[in-house]
Amino acid sequence: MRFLVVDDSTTMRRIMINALQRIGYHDAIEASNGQEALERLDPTVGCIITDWNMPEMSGLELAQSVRETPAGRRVPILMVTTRGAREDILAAIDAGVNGYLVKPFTPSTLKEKIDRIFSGAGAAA
Amino acid sequence: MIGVPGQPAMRNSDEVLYDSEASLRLVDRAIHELKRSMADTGEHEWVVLEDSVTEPGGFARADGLRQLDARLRDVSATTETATTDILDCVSRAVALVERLGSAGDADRDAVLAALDNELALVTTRLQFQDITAQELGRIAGVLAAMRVGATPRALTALPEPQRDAQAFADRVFGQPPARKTA
Repeated sequence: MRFLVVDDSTTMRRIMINALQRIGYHDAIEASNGQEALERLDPTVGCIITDWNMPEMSGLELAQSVRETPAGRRVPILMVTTRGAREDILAAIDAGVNGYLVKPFTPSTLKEKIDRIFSGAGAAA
Repeated sequence: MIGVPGQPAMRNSDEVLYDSEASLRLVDRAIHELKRSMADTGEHEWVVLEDSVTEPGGFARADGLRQLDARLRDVSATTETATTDILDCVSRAVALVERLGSAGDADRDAVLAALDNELALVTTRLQFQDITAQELGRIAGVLAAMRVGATPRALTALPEPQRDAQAFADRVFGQPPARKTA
């Protein structure tokens, strides 16, 4: 499965791709903000993993935009962010996000969230 | 530099560890200098605070400054903890590499697994760079707002992370969505 990893921090994108590799996912493409992610999104992308705070277009705006496109209605979105306020979490689910992971994370917690999304236990898109 | 066909050239581990440690020391030093500089200007700050509390919204501004100070101290503590954790991981990894040289076939796999685990921990701990950068960005935003006469509400606009944020998110996302669906 191909992941689209979206984060404005190069370090975090590398950490995320490294964590994905450790749990057995070796196909990932990158984007540094929501706008770039929309440009890179195509039917080969099986899951979007996005940060929230990014310049130009945030992860929340990305989720809202993806859900408005025919191709993006069903692609799972996992938000990985430092934002842990209750209202943020509720805003994310309202925007169409399927899973929520608060930084810092470990490869095992990442795997748990991905498994949860694909087992259908996460919020449906 | 290490070359892998089809991938960008990678730097060798000694070089990376040396640079990582140097970078961490720079971050740590910058935060200590920031704390010292705040302490040096403490008297001036109190004069500013005394002046500000006599103005409308002054008490809220003083409270906002106290919150910012607490958040900066949290950033400093996070950095210090992460730095210590990373250095501990590196020390254990170096010891494992030394052990690998004398390990027999039976022990070799266990040592390699332990080494792999330590290196994974380093990667996980490096997330502090992004976490502290985002927190410092939020603090800088509030300070910039204060300079242009922010309202008391803006001064307390830094969202307080929930202690059980992940557990709350798991509960919310584990339930059927009570929202629009595509």
